[in-house]
Amino acid sequence: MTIGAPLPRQDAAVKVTGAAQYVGDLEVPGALEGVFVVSAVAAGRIRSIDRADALTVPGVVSIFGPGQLGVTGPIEHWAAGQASMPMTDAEIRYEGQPVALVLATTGIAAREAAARLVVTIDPLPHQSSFAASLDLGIEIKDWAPTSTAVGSVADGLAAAEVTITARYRTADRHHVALEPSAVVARWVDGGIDLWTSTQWVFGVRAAMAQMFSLPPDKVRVRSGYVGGGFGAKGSTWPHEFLAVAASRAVAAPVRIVLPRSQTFTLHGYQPATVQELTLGARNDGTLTAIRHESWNAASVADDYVEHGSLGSRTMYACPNIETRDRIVRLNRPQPTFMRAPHEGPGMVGLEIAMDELADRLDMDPVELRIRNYARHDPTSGKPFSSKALDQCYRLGAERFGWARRSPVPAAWGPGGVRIGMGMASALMSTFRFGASARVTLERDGSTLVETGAHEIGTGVRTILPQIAADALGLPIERVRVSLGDTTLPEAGGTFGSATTLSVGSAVRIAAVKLKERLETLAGEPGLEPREYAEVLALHRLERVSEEGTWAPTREEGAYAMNAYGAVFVEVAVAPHDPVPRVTRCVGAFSVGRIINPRTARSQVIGGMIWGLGQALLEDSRLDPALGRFVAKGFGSYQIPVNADVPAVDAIFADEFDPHASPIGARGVGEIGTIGVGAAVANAVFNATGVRVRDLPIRVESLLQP
Amino acid sequence: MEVRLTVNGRERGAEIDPRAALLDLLRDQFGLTGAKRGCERGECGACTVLVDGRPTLSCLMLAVASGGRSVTTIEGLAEGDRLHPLQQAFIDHDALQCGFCTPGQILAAVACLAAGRANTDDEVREWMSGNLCRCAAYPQIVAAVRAVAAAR
Amino acid sequence: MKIFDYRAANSVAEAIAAAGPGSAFLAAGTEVVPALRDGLLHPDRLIDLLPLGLDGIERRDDGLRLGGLARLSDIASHPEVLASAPALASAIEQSGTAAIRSMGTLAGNLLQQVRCPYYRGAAPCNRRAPGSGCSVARGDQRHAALMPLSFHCAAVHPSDPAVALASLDATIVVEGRAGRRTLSLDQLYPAAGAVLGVPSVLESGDLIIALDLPAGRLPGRYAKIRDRSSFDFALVSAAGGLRLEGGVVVEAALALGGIAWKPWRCRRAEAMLVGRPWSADLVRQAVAAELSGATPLEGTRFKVELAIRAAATVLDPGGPS
Repeated sequence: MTIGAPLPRQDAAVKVTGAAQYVGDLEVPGALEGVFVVSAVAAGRIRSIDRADALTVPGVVSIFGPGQLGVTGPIEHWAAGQASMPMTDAEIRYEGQPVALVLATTGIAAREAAARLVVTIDPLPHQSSFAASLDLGIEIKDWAPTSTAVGSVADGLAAAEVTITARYRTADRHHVALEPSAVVARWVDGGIDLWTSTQWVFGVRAAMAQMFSLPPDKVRVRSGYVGGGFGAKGSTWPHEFLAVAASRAVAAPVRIVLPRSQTFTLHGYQPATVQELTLGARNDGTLTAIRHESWNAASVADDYVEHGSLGSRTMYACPNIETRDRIVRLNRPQPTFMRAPHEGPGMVGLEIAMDELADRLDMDPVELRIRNYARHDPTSGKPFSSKALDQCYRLGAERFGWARRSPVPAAWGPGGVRIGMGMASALMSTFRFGASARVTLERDGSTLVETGAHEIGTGVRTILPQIAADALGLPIERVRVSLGDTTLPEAGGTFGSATTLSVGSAVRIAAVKLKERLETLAGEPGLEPREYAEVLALHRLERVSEEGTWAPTREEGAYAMNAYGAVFVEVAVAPHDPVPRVTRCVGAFSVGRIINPRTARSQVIGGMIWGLGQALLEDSRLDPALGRFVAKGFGSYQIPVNADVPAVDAIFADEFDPHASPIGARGVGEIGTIGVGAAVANAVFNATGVRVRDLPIRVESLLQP
Repeated sequence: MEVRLTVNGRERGAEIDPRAALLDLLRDQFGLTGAKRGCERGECGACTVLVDGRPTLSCLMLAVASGGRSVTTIEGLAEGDRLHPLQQAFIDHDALQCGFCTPGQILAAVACLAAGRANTDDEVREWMSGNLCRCAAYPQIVAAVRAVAAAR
Repeated sequence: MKIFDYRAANSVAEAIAAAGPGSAFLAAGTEVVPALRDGLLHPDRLIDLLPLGLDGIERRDDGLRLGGLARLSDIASHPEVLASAPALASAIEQSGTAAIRSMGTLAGNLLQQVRCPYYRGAAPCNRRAPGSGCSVARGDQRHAALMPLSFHCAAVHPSDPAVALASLDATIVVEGRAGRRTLSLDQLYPAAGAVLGVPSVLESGDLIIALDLPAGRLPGRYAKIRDRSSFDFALVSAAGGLRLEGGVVVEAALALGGIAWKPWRCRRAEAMLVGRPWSADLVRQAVAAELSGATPLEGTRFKVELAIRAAATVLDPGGPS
């Protein structure tokens, strides 16, 4: 059995030797380097562009302004990150919007020319402040309902013996994958040949085909290794379209590697949310009412709903639940999905509110959650496909030592250091998509798995061969994989924690079909792997190949599907340096079957560290007067560094989800990031008695003299 | 301008733009793309190489200033097919995910061991804090460095 | 980045002679190279000082002499520094990253520009574009000063070592066109009220040859409060120490970082401490008095309390030494 084995990453060797090639590493003869000049104002109109000085820079080939690349906007396409297309008109809709593209023979020349280009913009008034604009919140039509109601919250509150009402806030956050987005575009035989650091080659292909009026088979998209995506590379963004357009305009390959500063405005971010929660409960902890309203910052030209209340619809058994998600349109760049969208910010509100309720009831926070354990989805009424959250509460509490928690804030440590423990539940709705894969067996026994999924660090390159090897009974060493290319069988994007369950299922189906084919050829069932070569030789076949396609079925729609977790955190707050520090973190997760415990563990540990960032550091502050993100680099947009990360432990419930996928898996990639933010805030309360409702938690909040 | 230096034990020369960083020289002229452009301002560590044995952010060192120096990049760490112990430890401890920061992490770790700063987990955490990993393989990175330190 | 002429200096005299309008000195590059990329510096000529050496660390009769181009990590691990100026070693160890400490020079660290994101970004900033306004006044203030340079600029000096050096009474040896002169750390930075685009008063051709640490000073400690546990600039930091005789403070040194455009030597607080019996309350009162002239912005008010806590750490006679 290779499934369930903690096999090392198949791509580790090329990554530790520097041999793994990312898009920016490709050698592309004759490629021109492109650099965008971007708007410094949040709203306005371009009056003029003076190229004279920029054109004197040796090596400059072309400078394009609005309307000069032969593309028109907006682009209405499901795979595009935003409809609004810069450089198609003189309008400035957000700060950081590209207003010109400089192409030169070297990056140094392109950057110098970009710095010398004089773009004059007439600024217009703008509204960028989210905090000041909540009354502008509107509901829009989106892929999920923006409001739901079961029962009557008014009745539930009337029946409540305790109520909690509070506002919670999460900050604007950026993905900041270490690899800045990069694209190499060229035109070959009237079609597009594109390398781009994307999580979704087929999405890029579809969007490009529409934009450039080409049949999809005239567009080839490859991703190579992708240096992290986290959602920022999940959609097709303007810089990718504009690179293709520029390559057409100059009839040469064009490479654009975004400078770090532009990664803050050109491919989305997680928007700030404000959440208003009302909980009603009886004295025994039974919830009688949940109301969760969420607002998120959005852009003026496009839609993006951060469904902050999504988790509250399904998390706890409660007869009366009302939820609503609104957006506030502002002059700011377009937000997008970021690792653990929706529940990532949304569960912060719900789970701090639950802690407040536990405190008011003088009840253990774990006990309160178990008291309200949902056996079916309280909003849809559907049964869960599989749920082992009760196991997670128990396993996590045990491993963490939750029983040692003091319910009242206390100074425990040496030197008056306050130690606190907090916990939170995690929930993320399971996203699934159809996928295809091809498995080919060569006569020498080597096997190739092919599918248009991507290795962005999640372990796909290891997990898919494991699934094929398992079905065929082959050692993993004989199985290779080819990914990230639209000439391969179609798969969805590597996002939504869905690749293993979706693409993995397609691989399994293909491998099983292949095994059956071999057995048919052999004329007998129960063929041994060592007999494969013989069968091929007998039939004079060099190889056999089968494709498998998997898609969610209608029957499975009868189930509610979520990944779950229980997160336990210990923090220390020192008197002379009251910046809260996390000292221990344990997460227990219910995510279906684990294909590779090693990569899965790394995934959720990485996710939990994202949660630490959300809890204590990550805050992309938008200056409302200037309408711009202030931090446009790792220096001022701070993510956790190694020294911020204590012992982090992760455990998985033993589980097989027969309804989520044929391989029993749900999703691992994002659940780890959820719950940590609230658990840290709850631990800080336990340590200090200070209830912080805004993330990240800043030392300012903990500074009573 | 011309610059001559030693890269991974080999003498090399190149005609360079004075504005080029050592990182540009390594990647664009020598084809050594293991050192990555992550931020180009010394805030991420993805371009870390060793210059005369010192951990160096190659995005912050002008190529012209590297004349006469000895540079080690990730491509020069293994001896033939035999991986450097840290490279092997990164594999064994799953100390990487997307891999983009990995070459810089490993070279920073080489310097950490050479400086004798791998005696405790906290010491390693502090030393390795200049190398950001957004996938957040930090605990595994610490484990890998500590394992190699323990084996010495 | 516009093209420049690169020149490696062979001697101090040559470096000084080569300097002039449009020139800039280069050492490790950790400060200069990003400034070139961001268009904050646009020299015609770059004079590389690293070939000069000037990186020795030597014990002299009257104290320690640190070469201006000594690498930060070499200073922090030097036995003489660890023995007589642990506050400096600690400040360096808590500064930047292993690579930045290994590359960066002491003089370069003292002369670095502010980290204000408005200065570094394309936003109104009097320091970068005089007269364009200070965005901090109605913008992001968390990292701004309690004691602004002037109404026109509220950025703080980002160096950790400078704070320790201020507490240690370090003097700076400068070689320039007019010969050699020494400055106190306080004299290195502009006087309050000045509006300068440059971080120090040094002029073209001035070179920091060395720093002298006088003997007989309190060795001191360094406390840094920051959001991240490493690789972060200080929200507030403190360097210094005290000596008690029979419970009475007989000697005290204190400098604060993260609150002004220069390291802030707390003479008033020191004077309040000396001659009085030590108590935590006394330390609190002394630092509060020192900061009583502060004009905090809404977003920097918390730094008063934070400074008191940081100072309490280094002025705690029971704390680790």
